[in-house]
Amino acid sequence: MTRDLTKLDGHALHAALGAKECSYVDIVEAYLKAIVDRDGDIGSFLFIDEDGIRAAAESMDARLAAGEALPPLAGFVIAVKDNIAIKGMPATAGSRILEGYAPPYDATVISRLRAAGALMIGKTNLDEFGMGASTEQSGFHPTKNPHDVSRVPGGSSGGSAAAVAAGFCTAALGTDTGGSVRQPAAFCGVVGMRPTYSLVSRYGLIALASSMDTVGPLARTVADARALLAVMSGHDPADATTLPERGTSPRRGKTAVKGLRIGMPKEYLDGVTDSHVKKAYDAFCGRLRASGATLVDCSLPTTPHAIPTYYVLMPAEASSNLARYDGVRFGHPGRDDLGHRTVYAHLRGGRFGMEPKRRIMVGTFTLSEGYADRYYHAAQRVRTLIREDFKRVFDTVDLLVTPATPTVAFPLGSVTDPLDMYRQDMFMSAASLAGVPAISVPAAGMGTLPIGIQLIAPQGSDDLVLDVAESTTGN
Amino acid sequence: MKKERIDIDRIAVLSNLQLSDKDRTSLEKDFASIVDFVGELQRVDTTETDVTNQVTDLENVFRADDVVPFLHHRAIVEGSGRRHESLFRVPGVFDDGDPHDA
Repeated sequence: MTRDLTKLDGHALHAALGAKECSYVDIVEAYLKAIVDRDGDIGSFLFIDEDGIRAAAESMDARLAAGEALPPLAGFVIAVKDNIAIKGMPATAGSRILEGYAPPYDATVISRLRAAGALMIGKTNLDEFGMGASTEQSGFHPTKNPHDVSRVPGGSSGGSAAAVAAGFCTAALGTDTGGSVRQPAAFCGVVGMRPTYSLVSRYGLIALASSMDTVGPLARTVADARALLAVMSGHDPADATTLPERGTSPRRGKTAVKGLRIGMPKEYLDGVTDSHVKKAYDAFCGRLRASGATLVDCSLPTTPHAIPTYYVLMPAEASSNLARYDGVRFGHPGRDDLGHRTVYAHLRGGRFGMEPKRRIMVGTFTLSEGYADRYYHAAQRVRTLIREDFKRVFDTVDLLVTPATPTVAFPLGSVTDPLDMYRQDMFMSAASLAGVPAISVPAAGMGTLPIGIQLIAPQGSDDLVLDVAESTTGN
Repeated sequence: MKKERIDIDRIAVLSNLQLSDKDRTSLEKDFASIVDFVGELQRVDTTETDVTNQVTDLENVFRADDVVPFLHHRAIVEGSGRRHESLFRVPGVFDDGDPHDA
């Protein structure tokens, strides 16, 4: 067979398997070869499960040969961000403090994907515990952008986005707390979706900020992202916060955009500093108009408060979630010759990177006696205002369209101030705080570096986001 | 808005983090600017606004009180680098000085 299987999307691979034009083993070997050839320059993986995926591919081929029906995600080979548990594979969350830990169970998203015929190829790099927007803050190595290896892939799911863009997998899982699926998707030119909060189970996800953490797909096409989300979403008894089962709404197909009112929030457009991003955004809006949508100016006045609110609530929740890493139950055990507080403080001080230490400290400070009302509770109240802003704007428009990022991917090492790194998520955080679904889709190319456009919809309107994204990108 | 007085060493103790000199230098530089940055929220009028803890609008989520056998005890303990037979082994809790002297 001469066709390069790594160039196909999941639906094409599914069809090729169904037509017996290739086998699971062919697909897996094509990806493994691409990784060996090229991941040395990109660094998207922390662990590649070569033996495991070869065995799984052979077993799936045997089942198909025995006459089993083709499962819905047959042919999909998935790379998984290393903060999601896969039984027997390492799960470091990009941190040296979890080095050596391999969870004894699968996250719910993993068991659902497996049951649908998908195979897991390995674990991808991330900013430590998801804290970053460039994947430079991994405790292991930075990941490079496949479109230009002198630039970052975005983050924190930068390994997953780079792996999809480089053709190392069919699709990938990321996690999006404050933009960590959408922003790297934009920088790497792939589709990345943050679902409605709690649509997808968080069981088996290494928690960062529990009130905002979501698991989301990264893929080459909207159709593939939709296929993953359809399998992963739904109530999970192991995660009491998952939403009750919902029916899927009928696909709107090619007419998805016709008749919709789509808002262009001025606070987002004011933040764009890159003329290429502005041009790509205008061209995308032009396509929405041409497809029959009415585009209207709108305002979300609380937008400037989103980043400060996020950077109170996220560190506060993270300082609590990361308190469990003391070397006893997970990861590196630390020394054994001193009392418990000394052992814990020494291990945590030595094994957490600078960004987790900074955020644990900020979170501890904003939750501490005398400060909680001024910082933590104040941010919780502003979160209410941000949520109300979205509810109000969605009374007048069906959907919002914004640029995903203010600029294209920036050069490695060029953002050194923590606040400048936090501001990278200026178009991302508000949707996270409100719990609404949002997707980043690649806009028409402007030069060599990709640009992402974000669509944001009301809570529960994940299908609408996907329908509009699919009809606008043509895939 | 008044400038916060921030005691890095005190917060490090509360955070269970032993800081190196390099960490302390970095945090002394960044911490005040981060706190200033997020402190702007105090200027937002929220006198009539309730807090948002979560956005699912779910309340009182219960499950049936069924006893389900749990079979992973051994695998969980074996995942730890600190174990004694079927138990986690923790550092001593009585003889403890100031963690920042170590």
